[in-house]
Amino acid sequence: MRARLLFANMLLLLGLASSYAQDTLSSEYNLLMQIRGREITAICIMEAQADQSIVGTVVNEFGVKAFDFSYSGAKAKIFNVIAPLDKWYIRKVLRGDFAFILSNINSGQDAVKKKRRLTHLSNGDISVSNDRYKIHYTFTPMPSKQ
Amino acid sequence: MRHFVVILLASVLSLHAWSQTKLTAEQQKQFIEKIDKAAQTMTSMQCDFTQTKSMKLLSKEMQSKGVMYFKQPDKLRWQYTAPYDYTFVMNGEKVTMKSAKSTQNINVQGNKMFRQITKIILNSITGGGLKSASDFQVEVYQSDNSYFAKLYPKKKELKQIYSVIEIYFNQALTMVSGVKMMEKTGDVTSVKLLNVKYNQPVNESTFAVR
Repeated sequence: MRARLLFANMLLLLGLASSYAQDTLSSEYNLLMQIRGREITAICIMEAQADQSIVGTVVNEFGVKAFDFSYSGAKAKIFNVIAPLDKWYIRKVLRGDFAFILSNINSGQDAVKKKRRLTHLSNGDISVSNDRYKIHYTFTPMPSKQ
Repeated sequence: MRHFVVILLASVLSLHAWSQTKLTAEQQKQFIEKIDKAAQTMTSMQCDFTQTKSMKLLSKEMQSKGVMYFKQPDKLRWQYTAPYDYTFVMNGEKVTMKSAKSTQNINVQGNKMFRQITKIILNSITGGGLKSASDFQVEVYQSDNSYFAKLYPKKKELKQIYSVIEIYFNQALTMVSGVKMMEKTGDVTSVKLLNVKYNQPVNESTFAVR
């Protein structure tokens, strides 16, 4: 009886997981952040949902999370920020930068808005500058596993 | 329907309870002594590893793999080879991190967070974290024929990130076979060590830092 219940439960979970996965489109990037002469490398993973919203995360290469983000209706949210970065002014800058990045990263077009510039480079990288705070992001797409 | 859910939950929970038994204080002491004794005979170690990170927010897992070299007491090369290239080399108090677009050199001594990270890596490889009473509250469990330890961080820097770190050992209790790190956000990172070789010569250039 227990085995049957477990089996049914597993099938249910697998079914839910696979139906959810089919509705999302995942992208992975190597991310280089340059902030006033300091460099931070990370991995950025994002999933576009069926309703056009985006959720994602930035983690270091060891897998430690820096922060999560979501984007919907031209607005970005930054949350689960690692303690050393969890300051209101850092969240504010990241929120603005990621709203700009996520609204333009899949368009294939370069974009400029106020002090922010996004450029699709010929090598496939996506370069983003926040000239006000002198922050530079380079997103390098990772090869797709599919 | 309610009965069905109760039975389902009870069956899952009871299976979980059967699968692991917490060691007594005396058993845990003996276990740690055995691990420590094995670690003392190790001069070097090299292996492949796989890393899987499951994230609460995302449906897809992040998977990576690489190679690791370790030489007592504090030389480590942790190199990711796929799907990204990233190399972390520690030699004493100096650390070099190299990715495709950036190389950074850090003196661990001047960076508290980094000191903690390198300490976790070294302690996880050797099992030394089991003895760090000031850093972790340790509980050891037996699960079938294998053992694992749950390390609850005590220090602020680690407590802010991890809720618990689990270290898994082989049946002979001679080596660490994997590490699972549970973050406070619900994300889990699992590292499995494969093709482990002990006390084989490792070239010093493997640990070269600038």
